This record gives sequence, C-alpha cells and structure tokens, in this order.
Amino acid sequence: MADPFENEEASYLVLVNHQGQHSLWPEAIEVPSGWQVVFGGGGRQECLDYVAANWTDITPRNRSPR
Amino acid sequence: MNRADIECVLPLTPLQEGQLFHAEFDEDGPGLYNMYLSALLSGPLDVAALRSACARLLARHQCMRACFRRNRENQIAQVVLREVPLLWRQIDLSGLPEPERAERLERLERETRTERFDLAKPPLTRFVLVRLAPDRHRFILCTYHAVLDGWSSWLLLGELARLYEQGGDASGLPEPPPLEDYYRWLAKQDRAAAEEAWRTSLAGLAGPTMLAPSGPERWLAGSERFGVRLPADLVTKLQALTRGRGLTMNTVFQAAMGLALGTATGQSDVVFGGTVTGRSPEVPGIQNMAGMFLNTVPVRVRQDLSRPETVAAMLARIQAEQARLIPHHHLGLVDIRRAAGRPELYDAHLSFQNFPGAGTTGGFPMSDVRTDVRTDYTLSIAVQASGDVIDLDVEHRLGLFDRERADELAARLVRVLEAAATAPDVPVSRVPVLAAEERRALLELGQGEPATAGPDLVPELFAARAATVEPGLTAVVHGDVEVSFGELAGRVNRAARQLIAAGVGVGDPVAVLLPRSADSVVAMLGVLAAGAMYVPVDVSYPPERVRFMLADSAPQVVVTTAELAASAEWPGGARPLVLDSPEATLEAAAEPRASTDGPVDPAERRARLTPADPAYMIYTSGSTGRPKGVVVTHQGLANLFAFACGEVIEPAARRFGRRLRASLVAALSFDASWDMVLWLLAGHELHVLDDDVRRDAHALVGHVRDHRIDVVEVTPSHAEQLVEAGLLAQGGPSVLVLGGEAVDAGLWERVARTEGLMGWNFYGPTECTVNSVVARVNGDGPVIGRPVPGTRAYVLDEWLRPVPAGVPGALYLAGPQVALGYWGKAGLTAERFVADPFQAAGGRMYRTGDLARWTRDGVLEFLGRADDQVKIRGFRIEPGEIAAVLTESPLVSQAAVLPGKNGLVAYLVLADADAAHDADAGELRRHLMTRLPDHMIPSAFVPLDALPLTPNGKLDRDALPDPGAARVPAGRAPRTRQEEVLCGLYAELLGREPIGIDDDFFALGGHSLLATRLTNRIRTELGAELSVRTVFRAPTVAELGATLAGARPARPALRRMSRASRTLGPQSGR
Repeated sequence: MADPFENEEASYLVLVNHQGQHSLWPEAIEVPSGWQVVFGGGGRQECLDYVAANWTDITPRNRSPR
Repeated sequence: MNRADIECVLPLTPLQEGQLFHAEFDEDGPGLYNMYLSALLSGPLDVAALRSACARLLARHQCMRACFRRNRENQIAQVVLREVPLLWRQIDLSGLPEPERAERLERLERETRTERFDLAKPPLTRFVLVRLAPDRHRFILCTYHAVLDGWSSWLLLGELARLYEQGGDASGLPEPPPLEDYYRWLAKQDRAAAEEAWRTSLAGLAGPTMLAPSGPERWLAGSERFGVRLPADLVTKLQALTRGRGLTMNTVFQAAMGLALGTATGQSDVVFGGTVTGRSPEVPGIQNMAGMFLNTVPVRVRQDLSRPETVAAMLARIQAEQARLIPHHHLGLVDIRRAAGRPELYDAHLSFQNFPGAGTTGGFPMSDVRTDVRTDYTLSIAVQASGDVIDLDVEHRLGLFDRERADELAARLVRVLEAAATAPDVPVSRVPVLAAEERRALLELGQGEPATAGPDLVPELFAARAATVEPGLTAVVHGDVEVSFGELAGRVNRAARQLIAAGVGVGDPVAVLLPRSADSVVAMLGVLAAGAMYVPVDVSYPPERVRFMLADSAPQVVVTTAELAASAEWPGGARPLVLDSPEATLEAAAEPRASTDGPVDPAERRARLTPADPAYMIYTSGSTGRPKGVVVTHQGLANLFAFACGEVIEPAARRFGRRLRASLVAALSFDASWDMVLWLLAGHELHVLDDDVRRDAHALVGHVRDHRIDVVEVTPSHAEQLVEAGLLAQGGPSVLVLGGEAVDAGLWERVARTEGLMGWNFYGPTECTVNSVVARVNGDGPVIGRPVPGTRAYVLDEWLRPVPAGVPGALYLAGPQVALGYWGKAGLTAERFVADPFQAAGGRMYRTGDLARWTRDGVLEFLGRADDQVKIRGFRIEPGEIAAVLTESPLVSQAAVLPGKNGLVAYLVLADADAAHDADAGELRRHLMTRLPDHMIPSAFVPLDALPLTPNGKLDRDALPDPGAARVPAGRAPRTRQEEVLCGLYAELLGREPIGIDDDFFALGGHSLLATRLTNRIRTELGAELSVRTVFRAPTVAELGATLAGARPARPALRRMSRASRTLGPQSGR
C-alpha cells in the first residue's frame, strides 16, 4: 500500500502545534485539530527543507526553565 | 444434426468463451451461467396465444436457436439451427393451499434456474408457465446466458407482449438483423489499439484487488444473494446529482464500489469487473438484435492521493477515464489481462442495468419482474435501476465472503452514495466509508488501558526503590562482581553529582562508552539522576562509527574508562570523565551539596527536570547513510515501567513469591536493554551477562541454569538457537521475552506449550520507547497483541483512516511513549512523527512503516514492512545506509543493498571498469567494517555492469541476479588437519559439501549469525578464540587458518560479472 507521507508526486503542507513541533502533512488530507499550516502546499522536499530551516530544536517549546 | 438443418455457424465473443470455459470446468455443478427472468401475469390469460408468441420468438431470433459445438480443430463454435422445438412446461398450482403453493413455486423457480442445459442441444431456452390462480400466472424464461444477455431479455419480453396481443403475428415488429453482422463487426475491431488502451488504463496498478484468496475453489463454492433497495430520497438526490453534474448513474455506482472495495482491501487504487453492453452503434439495427453482446472489463477506481480532490471532481474524472475506453470494450478480459501483464485483476463485479420499465401494455400486464444471473465472482453487485427504484442485487460466495462482510460492503457502498449525493464538493478523503460506530469501535480497539499514575521521572523511580528496598540485597551482578542496592544507589548518586559538577545540565547528552559491566548500569542511572540524556555508545563498534556517534550527539561529557580516556581521540568539545576518579571526585567536592552518597535533590540539577525531557538517545540505522539518534523522554520510559511492573514483573514475582533474577543479554546500545533494567528498578536482581556468555548459545543456557536466572529476553532468532541448545528444558527461565523481530509460528508454539513458562512477545519501534504492543505467547499463533497502557495503536489506510478488522493497513502509534524525534534532524522528525488526526490537542503519532491488521478477536497481527527496512537478529537495518557507506569507497560508484535468503546482498557498480579485476571484496568488507557494526556487513558482494532500472528509473529488483545462482565450485582441498576441521565446520554450518579452502563463508550463504556460531564451534573444536569480525576479515578456510596461525595470505580478487550471468564472491577470482 502507498504511504501518504512518501509520495514524491503529492503536494504537502508543514504543520506546527502549540509546542512548536513540526509535521509534514499530505495536502489531500484534512488538517488535524490543534495544528496550524505554516508552509505549503508544496513539494515534499520543499516542505522538509522548510522544516530543517525553521525548526532548530526538536525539544518541545514550552519546556520551562527552573 | 444434418448440415441442412444448420442456418449458420458463428464464432464466439470473448465473454462467451469465458462462460463456456467455466461450464466445462464445472461439469457437475448447478447451472452457473443461467439467465433467468420471471414475471407475474395478472388477469385472464390466453395460454395458447402466449405459447405461440414464444414459438414466434424462437423463429425470429437466431440466438434462441443456437447451441455450442466443437469443430474439427476442437474449437468451440456457435451453431444456429433453422428450427428448434419449443421447450414449454405448464404447471398448475392453483389448487394448492397458500403456504404450500408458495413453497412449491419457490422450489420450481429454483429448479428451473439451476437446471443445466446440454450446450450441444438447442434450444438453450426453457419457458415455464405456472398457474397460481385462474387470473394469476408466473411466467418464467430461463436461458443459457451465453446466448442471451440481460438487455436482450428485456427486448424479448417487450416483443413477447406485442406478439401475444397480436396472436403471434409479428407485423409491426422490426426485423432483427442476422447475428453474423455483429460478429463481422467484432472481427474488424483494432485489437492492437484496444490492448494499448487497456495497458495504459491499468498501468501502475499496485496489484490485483482481491476480496478472497484466488483459486479454482471460487468457482465451486456456492453463492447466496440478497437484495438492497435504496431509500427513495437517496434515489432522488442521486438523480439530482447526475443531472446537475452531467454524470451517469453508472459512474456514481462505480466510484462508490471503488471506495467500498478500497476500504475492504485497504487500497486506494482498486479494480473490479464491470459489465458493458457491447452494443456498438456501428452495427446497424443492433437495438433490435437479441443475443450475447455483453463483455466484462476491468473498472479501475483510483483515489488521487496527491492532492485534494472533491467527490464531484473524482466522479467527473472516472467518467472521463471510462469514456476513453468505450471504443475498446470489445477486447476480451483474457486479452486485457495479458496486455496489462496481470494474470489476475479482481474478484468483485459490478453491473449496472437501466431497465426501461416493464413492458406493461394493456393486454399483457406484467409485474414483479425478477431477473437472476449467477456469477462466479467472490462478490457481485447488480444494480438494477427502473424508473425511481434502484435495487442492488448482491451475490456473495459462501465460505469466501460471508453474509456479514457482504452486508458491510453493501452498507459502505450505500454510505458513499449518500455522501456523494449529499455533499459532492467535499474532498474524497472525508467521505465516511465506515459507519461512525465502526470507526469509533476501531479507534477504541487501538486504545490501550488508561495509564496508571506514578512517578514519571526515571531517577525518581530508582530513588523510590532504593529508599524502600533492603540496602544489602543484591542489585547488579556481573561476573564475580555483585553490587548491593545500597551500594548501587550511592554510586549512582555520586555519579550524578560528578556529572552535574562537570557542567552537565538537564537534557544535555552524556555519552557512555564503557565495556559491559556493573559500571555500565551505574553510569546509565547516574546520567539520568543528573537529569541528563543517556547516550550509550557500544565500545565494540568500529572506531569510525563511535567517532560519528560522539560527533553527532556532541556530548559535553563522555563517561568512559581511564584507559580509553587517555588513549582515544575525542571530538571537539567532548570531555572524557572517569567516574570516581580523583579528578571527578575533586571537582564534585567543590560543589556545596555534593559531598554525600544520599539521594540527589531535584534542586541540585542545573534546571528543573520534567517528564517531557529527554531520558536517553539510541542510535538506529538511517537510510541516508548515517545512523540517527532517537530521543526518548522520561514520561515514555515511566509509562513503559508502569506497564512492565503491572503486567509482567509483579505478576511473575507474585507467582514465585520472591525476588527474581533477570538477565541482560541485549547490547546496551540496543533499547531493548531497558526491559531488563526495569526489573532492577522494580527491585529485582539484574545479571549483566558478558559477551562470551551472551554470544554462545550453550554458554548462555548453562549460565541460566547455573545462576538460576528467572528472566531472559532475546530476539526470536536468538531464541531459536537457545531453544536448540536446551533453554526450555528443566531448569530454564520462568519468564521468556521475545522482541525485536517477528516470531515465527514454530517458535511461538514451542514457547506457548512449555509448561510453567510465561512467554511474552514485545513489539515496538525505538521511536516509541522500546515496546508499544505486547502479547502473551499463547493461543493459536503469532500476534503482536494489544497496545500497552497509555498507548494508542492505529491501523490506517492511505487517507489515514482506520481500516476495518481483517484488512491490512499502516501501523501508527501515539501516546506518552512517542519519542521527541531524531536528534538534530528536524526534517526527518517531521516526516515520521506526524500530526495525530484522532487527538484534539495537537498531539503527534509515530509512523512505524510496519504493516499490520486487527484480527476479528481484537489483537494486532504484524504483516511486514511497508519500506525497505530489514531486521537482522533483531537489529533494525536500513539497507540504504549500507549502500551509502559502500559508495564512499573509491572502488564503488553505485551500490544497492537488499536482503537475500542468507543475509544482506550488496550489488555494486565498480568505479573503475578496467581496474575492476583487481578490486578486492576483502577490501570492501574492510571498508565497511571500519564504519558499520557486524550485523550490517553484507554476506555477498555482486559486481554488475550497471544497476538494472525499471522504466521509471527505480531499481529493478526482479532483474538483480541471485547471489547464490551460479557459484564457482569448491577450490583447493584442505592441506592441514586444522583446515580439514575448518572445512568440516563450514560444511556443517552452511549445510553443503564439499568445501574447498578458498570458499568464501559468506558467498556460500553464511551470515553474521552463522559466523557467530562458527566462532563458537571453532572455540570448541580448535580451542581458538576468534571474533565474528575476524571471520568477516578472513572468510575462507585458507585465510582463517592463516589468521589462526598469525599470518595472512594474499587474497583473491573480485571480478565483475554481467547481470544475471554468474555470481562473484571473493573466491571466484581464481
């Protein structure tokens, strides 16, 4: 079966949640609640490049310092 | 029959051929391809007039006088006679009381419908008239389907009404053209163009769409049928939809069938059979012809996953796709399949018939017209539209597709129709194919039990245990070293303080590069107590890989031995720290609160440690050529601990009423090592087994027995060896955990039926904290089971919608155990850790890349990988990583690595074609060994002129030669006693003889697991200590012998081979 996240032909979005975590997302599928579109629709690599450039730390944003 | 009786001889249409094939195949079964039509006639009936009208039909239409015979060439032809008798049966049931009359009628109808025709004996049509009452008759026309299609039967019924009214006089009825006209037209059609059109139409189809396994039993299984009438308001909405958007009703049903089948099979691109009328307007007068012109052709319904498409747009697209195929409807299914290169395409069928309303002329009042054609499909849906009524006639094969599934599918089809008619402008991905309750039930099924509340920081878990357990009890055992709980806690706390003093903050990576020992456990827990992220680095890994891992994780501090601290090179910024060394102790003493062994106060850490902070990082294979670090959180590990305690550890401890001894067999760089550490956190004894014990099956089994080990966790392939070596005999473990790869049925059964053994199967990617889905090893066969508490498992289709039970889908995991992502790899993290559509609050789910399905009993079954990833001895390997490392060698320009029967196979295009003869397989092996761990070294290297590609530029796997296909025969015979023994061991392990001293262990099917066994056997037979690595370096008996003697011979060269000709291992250079 085809993987909706591995389709080089498809159009994708980049989503971000409240913790600043990013997710690649197939444009053909409804955006889940709690996520905002910050990039796209665009090619898969284009979206991943956006993520690489804009999400520098994979640890959640709201980690509070002591 | 005499020649003079024959009116004409006709060929067959492709569909007729197919039907006759089945008729011959199934000689004794019921009349599968009978076409049956039954109508209620109300009012007084002139039976003689009806009878003569029927006789007139025979005279008018050639098809009513046709039969099938073989000619001299043994080909079947259709023979039309000038005259045939009328098969007329008249039965009077009017005298019977009601229930009996209905029963008799039903039986009669069934008998008429299923009675076989002798195909060589015309006519192939029977008429039956049943008198139910003086003014009520049931009229039945039953024909062998290959002579008459459904459309024609309605034509005949209309004519019959006219003929009856006119007392058998045909005046005013158009004269039907001879059947020959049709067959002549058919013969003139452009087959090549049709083949091309069908090839194009089916190109790129992932596979056949099958509701049941294929096989001849399909034709023999009986079938049942039921009807579904669409609600009137749905019909009204569908009529409005088709009118408003220029669509045909057929298109809407095809799309709905496609979506329903997609849900039933888990595919977004499906194909099923469709009936086409075959009545080309190019044949003059065809509208007046009765005969068999139908054809069945594949209908492909593809959901476009690449961009949002509305239902209306999809319907328009499907209609256009189908319209392009109309000129090619004449091609037979056998030829279509051949053109598409697929021996099999589908086992479901949809036909759509628009009946022109029963011909209720005044004098011949017909009503309640029923038709019935049996088919050989697993599922067949006949849509019959007549005026404002649409009926689905659903036929399903018993034993292959039961009533429940057929009901489900029909209900889904209707639900899609409803959605399409109501909201044609929503995206296809939002069409609710599943019922809301079914969807909810599937999501609930994937929901693990609620997680139990408890400490959610690992250091707290350990500190709490250390505070309650008797300090003198043994905590960790390694060889002769025994560490008590009190001592362990003290050392862990000291280690944490030394790390904090060295500047380590919360979440900071701290690499641990230590030989396997009790100290490894101290370091692991110490790093966590400091609030830092534990990064185990395996000292047995090649130096380059160790360097990479240190450079990539960029730890401020590396916990290591004094020896390594002095000798190794440390990448920029990393500082070696030897626990309890004078320097570390001194540094820690400078900190105000750091002078004791007492529990670490949270305030001592450099920041507040939260459950969402990283606990450890494990490197796994990365497809782009470098391993990737998976960052796992405290809450993930704490959630796993809650499961392990509640369901595995405590029940076992209760059963035996004492503390248990758990053995750590796994490498510490493997996340499964946590499973046994959790036993320690639960207050049990952890035995860290040494390499010489854990790598030798007999030694391990002996150790388990001698040290009365209770708990063993190994990969299934390792377990097979251990079972062979007697693990499950008297004195074996009482808890056996299998994990890391799929368990085969044999091992499953062996473990399940071992009395007193608690067997577990743990499934889970590193990205979801070791184990996510678990099963007790009992019951029928291998399953991966149910999600652990707190975890949710989703089996999804290509639209990320839950697939029904029994249907394969992609496995996704969500919950507190989902890791933060890949260290320093945001893009890769965003690709695999994706938005969770089933959770409101912006949660994520991990895309495992594994295929799974829910069984009807509500447990998960593992079905393999969706991508290239392979598992070797439980190690996860991305073949792409090995290929990328291979191409870093100056010898190699292109490489592809694939799993083979006996381990990994590397296919190579060498950089310098001319110098290739001198290239050395050993050189490549050495290149890999300095960069990759043993389990990633291919067992065969196959040089090629070029990597074979598919038309769209991807690696053509099927065109790659089998590495074992054409091996060079054994070379020189053993020269010494030692070589003789080695040849014997090779033969024993590889299962082949004879073995020459130049035969390459790996080229003959050896893999790393067998290499481990070889070193064990060498130790036993020759008393020599060899590492697996040495076998890789010296894979022939001659080389191994020389290594044992301390010298190295010259090694043979690697030769290029043309694709699919012969295989090369290093031995073929001779």
